[in-house]
Amino acid sequence: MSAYSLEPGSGSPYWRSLQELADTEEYRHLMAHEFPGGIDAPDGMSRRRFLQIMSASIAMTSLAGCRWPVEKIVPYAANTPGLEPGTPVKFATTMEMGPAAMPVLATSYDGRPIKIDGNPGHPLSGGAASVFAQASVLDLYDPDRSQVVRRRTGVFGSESDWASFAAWAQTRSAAGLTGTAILTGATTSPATANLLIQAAARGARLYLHEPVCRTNEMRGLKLAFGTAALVQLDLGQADVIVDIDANCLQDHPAALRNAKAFAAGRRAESGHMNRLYSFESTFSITGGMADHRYPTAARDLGPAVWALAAELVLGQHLELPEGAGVSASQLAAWRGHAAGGPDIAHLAHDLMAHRGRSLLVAGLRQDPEVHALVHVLNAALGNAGHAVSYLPFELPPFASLGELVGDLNAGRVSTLVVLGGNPVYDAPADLEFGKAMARASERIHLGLHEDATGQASSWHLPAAHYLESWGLAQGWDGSLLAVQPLIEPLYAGHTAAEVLSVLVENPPRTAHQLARDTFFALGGGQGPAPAPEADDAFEKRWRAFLHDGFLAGSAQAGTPLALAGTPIAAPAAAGAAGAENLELTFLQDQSVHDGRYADNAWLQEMPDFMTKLTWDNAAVFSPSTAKDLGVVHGDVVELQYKGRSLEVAAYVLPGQARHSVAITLGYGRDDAGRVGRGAGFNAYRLRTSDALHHGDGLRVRKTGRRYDLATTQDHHAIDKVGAAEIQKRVPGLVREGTFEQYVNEPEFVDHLGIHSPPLVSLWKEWEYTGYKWGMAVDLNTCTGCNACVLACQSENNIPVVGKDQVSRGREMSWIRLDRYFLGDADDPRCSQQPVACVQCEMAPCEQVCPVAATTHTREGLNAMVYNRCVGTRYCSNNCPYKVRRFNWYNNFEDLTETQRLVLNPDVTVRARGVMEKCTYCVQRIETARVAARVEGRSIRDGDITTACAQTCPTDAIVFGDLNDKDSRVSKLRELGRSYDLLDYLNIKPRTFYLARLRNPNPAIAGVAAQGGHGGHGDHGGHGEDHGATAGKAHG
Amino acid sequence: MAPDNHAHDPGNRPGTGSEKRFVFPKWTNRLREASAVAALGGVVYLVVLVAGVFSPQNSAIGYAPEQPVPYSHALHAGELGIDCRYCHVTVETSARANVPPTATCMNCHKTIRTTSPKLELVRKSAETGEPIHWVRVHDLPDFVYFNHAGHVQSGVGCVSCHGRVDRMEVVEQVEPLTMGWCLDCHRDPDPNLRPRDKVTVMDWEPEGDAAALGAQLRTERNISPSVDCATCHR
Repeated sequence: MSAYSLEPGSGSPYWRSLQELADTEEYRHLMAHEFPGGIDAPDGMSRRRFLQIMSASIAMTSLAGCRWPVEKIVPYAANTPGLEPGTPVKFATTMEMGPAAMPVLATSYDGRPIKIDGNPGHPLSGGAASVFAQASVLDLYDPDRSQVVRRRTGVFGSESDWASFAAWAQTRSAAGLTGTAILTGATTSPATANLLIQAAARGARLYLHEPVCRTNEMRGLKLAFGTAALVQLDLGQADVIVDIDANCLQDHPAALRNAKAFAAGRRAESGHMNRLYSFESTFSITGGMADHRYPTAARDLGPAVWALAAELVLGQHLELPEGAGVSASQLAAWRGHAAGGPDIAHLAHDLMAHRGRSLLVAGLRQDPEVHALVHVLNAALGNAGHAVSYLPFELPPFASLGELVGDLNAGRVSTLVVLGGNPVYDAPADLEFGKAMARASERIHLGLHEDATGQASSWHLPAAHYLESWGLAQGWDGSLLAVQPLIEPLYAGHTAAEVLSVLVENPPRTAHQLARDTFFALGGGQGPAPAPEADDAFEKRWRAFLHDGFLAGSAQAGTPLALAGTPIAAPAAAGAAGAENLELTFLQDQSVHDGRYADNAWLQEMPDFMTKLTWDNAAVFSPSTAKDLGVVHGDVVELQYKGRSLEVAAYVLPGQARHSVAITLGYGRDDAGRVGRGAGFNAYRLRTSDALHHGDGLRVRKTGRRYDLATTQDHHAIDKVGAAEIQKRVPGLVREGTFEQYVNEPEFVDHLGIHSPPLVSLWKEWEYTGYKWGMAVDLNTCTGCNACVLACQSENNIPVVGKDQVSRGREMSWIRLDRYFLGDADDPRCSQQPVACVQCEMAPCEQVCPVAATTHTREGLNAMVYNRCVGTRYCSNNCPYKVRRFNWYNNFEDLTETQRLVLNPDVTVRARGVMEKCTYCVQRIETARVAARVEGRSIRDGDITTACAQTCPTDAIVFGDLNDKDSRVSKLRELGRSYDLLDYLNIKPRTFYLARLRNPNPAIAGVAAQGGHGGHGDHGGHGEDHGATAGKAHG
Repeated sequence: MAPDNHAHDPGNRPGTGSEKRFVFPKWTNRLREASAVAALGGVVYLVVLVAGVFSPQNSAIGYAPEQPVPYSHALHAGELGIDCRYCHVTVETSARANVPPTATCMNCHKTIRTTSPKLELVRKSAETGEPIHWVRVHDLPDFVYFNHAGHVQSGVGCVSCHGRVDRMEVVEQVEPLTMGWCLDCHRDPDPNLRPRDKVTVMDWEPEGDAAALGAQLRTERNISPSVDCATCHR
């Protein structure tokens, strides 16, 4: 079946979930109950008793007097020039996550970091921040962070302190570090790297462990070029992109830069659009954006690349460059291999037609040989030096975790130093790391949490969060980045560099000294950095470095590399796939990554962009595989794999490759804090060191039990009639077409909506003469990456409610990312649509509020007055977009003092019984208004950015004044593909959408456009009455 | 409920014959008086309630808590004529006017009245770095977001909200700071607008018609105070 054909006979090609598509028992239950989990019966107290007590307490209160508690004003004692209490200040710093160092701007409010944004000055961010970076501020205030140094001798543990550890370590290391093993995660810090090399020189052995590692990529580079390198992608220079399980828009260390460049190449108004092909086993956001996606089992991805290479060389006569390591005759056997799929010849032709302006990229789960072949093909296609280039570097002398376990078991390690990470939990199961670790007599662990590894250590040291740390880091583009603290360590934590300094230096240096000295040395200085007053020039450079967050001009330009000519081995033949020989793939999780963020409630509650799962992972099956196995969504199944087994809930996900089962890492941590403990299933128990990413031989056994998965996908669904109606209307909601269609008929989206007679208002409409705020959401560049969801959560103090509440449909996130599938269940396309309050001019919610708690402002905001709301929920009932969220509980009541520090003081914390929703970040509008008043001018375009728009990596969200004809948002409004959601209701939403465009290969596409399926054909009669389209002209 | 009255007083009911009719018992006559009393009581209750809610006491007018340091605005701002902005430095640019750090006090008091017992706490604070805990006088509810800079830049005098601070030994609240009071000015700002350079002048009086000057300033500076809920509540 071609990717663009549809199942015959289906009324609408769109659907939201398999449950909806199949109309299952569960879905019907969901339909029949407004509140799926049932309504909570009040515990322990009847309504009557409650009223009695309440009336009594009101009487008591009125007797007690009216003055609220006395508040204190506590100014500083000393005067710090430039410090204005109550005014947020931003600092540039860097978050390290494995090999990815992310330049960020952290907002500090009166000394406490409250929000993380991207550093707009650095191309690795461009102002965008990943979900992990944004959520990291919550980790800082995690009450389950380890807070004391713990010393364990024998079975007893006691509290100790840093000074005792330092004294102990100095004595012990005075005679050298022979017998010491240092295990570290991937780090880009030059200071740490220097200290590690010094430690090695003093006899220590170095090991590297990163559960989600890029080892294969580096091996592939070595194979192709004879050297490791940082692969620089420039998606802006590629017209045809082939993503081979790389998810380069999200899982790449430079993902934000990639996403920005990719989006720039999707802006159809420039008259040009790139084309993305994706081969992957499980839907990724890159697959979701693809013009052609081929669900391919991981075992077939290698053969697919070989088939593509064969087609290019033999079918398209692409000349292999010198030193290719592979010959045409070698490739001949792979031509037409089934793994390549039916369209491989067209794809090869497309690549050939775009030589020098195309790009192939392979993901970290691919074998080194696949990476090497991809580099060869990029070189052959002339892409090297354009869309792909390389920054070669020397791999540091690290041994692997497997070698460490060997050394431990052989008794060669007396002292093990674990710098971050949690190998007891996340090491491959066959290594039995926990047992091996116990063989070292002294085990030092530095970590944010006293996790499984911390509990197995003889010294546990609390680590400093990056917002508490001094340091240096290196970006993926080679630039030198600054890590600077915004707050004193809350729990006296220290950095990895400080621990190393204690081991190898006497006297040890502080993190601040280490960072300054290393910065001085990198600038050509000798010895320690001069004191601040001693060297003015250096001090200026250092200050500028801290101010910018990076050293200007330190980014390196990639170059093409010469191929080494090492022979590249073809993939081994795989056994026949089937129900008895399934494949299991281990993926990094989009919420908890490798498990390190398991205690982050924002990330846990963030619905996965594709499965919409919260608080859990699951084994992902394709619909056809599930059918073969008799497995349905929510079944508990036993995965039997390489002699190990794991019981896990099943999730049936459209677009999953057949005979391939995916599970994400990082869940099922029983060593986590109160947030992460017990959430999900521990896939590490199946992972082995010989097959870190995927392996065959999986068998699935049904247990007959069921498991409740909390997904947000079917929330706000109505009954079956409603579901049918939704299906009918979806093409009018997520409008899309093809690039070709758009070029030929720029206004094509207007025909996709529901046609209505001319719309007349019941009321005399307000005229907006001042500012008229509006928002554009470009579905063509929205990848569904969740960054906006997290930004909104952080900016607007949105509470976390937990799995139970989410499964009752009470998630609080103001932005809902609607995900729709289109077409065949085993090979669908997907569409993402972020929906928050669209700020209707004729808002239906306002008309039903009995207490005027939601009213309109003169600038068109649908304002929510929390202190007036009495919680009738009529507004939510009457909201056609279902974007209002109700506080069923006092969600902030149980927060500790430390946890409260993360709250944004510019936004009211909502209490129980109060409705809330997107405000267009009204606090930012008001701040900008006053700032403009202070400067004696009006608000300019760009002065106000909502949190979601600010962090969007693809600039899919644009906010501004619709009355300003020159504003960016006004210009987007004028585009042919702009449309209003539910325009036929005449409620005049201020948020409008820009239709998604696909750019299929004309040789492949069977059906050019999905456009006409929205009931357009039924309404030929009143084609002139494009009442609905009047929405575009309003105002 | 209704008792049979026929047996009690049959002669008083002409034309009743044998049919039973409901007649109110005599004691119910007293209900009339009782309800009159209740109505009167209700009115009194309402008056007391309304008066209570709007009384200066309950709107916190006159609230003048004792401060840890007996700082006199009457002396500093009044007699010595120090401008408000000498201490409240951020009032023109920030949402908060801010109470100054101890260091600001010590600018003068390291040479003036260096032994005054009233300044004991200030000296101690400057020495140890321990801050002084002042008591907040003008305290809006937490769901209200007020911005000093916006008002000062628009030419609303300090005195409009804070009263004649330059005459206060102990700062007290003189305006109710209720929403209705805020809205009064937002709906008609003219009487409270003054030239930008007169904002901190406590005894400034407009020459001529205050309303006319206000109207002129409002047009000049394009001031249109918002009465939208979201202006202060968010």
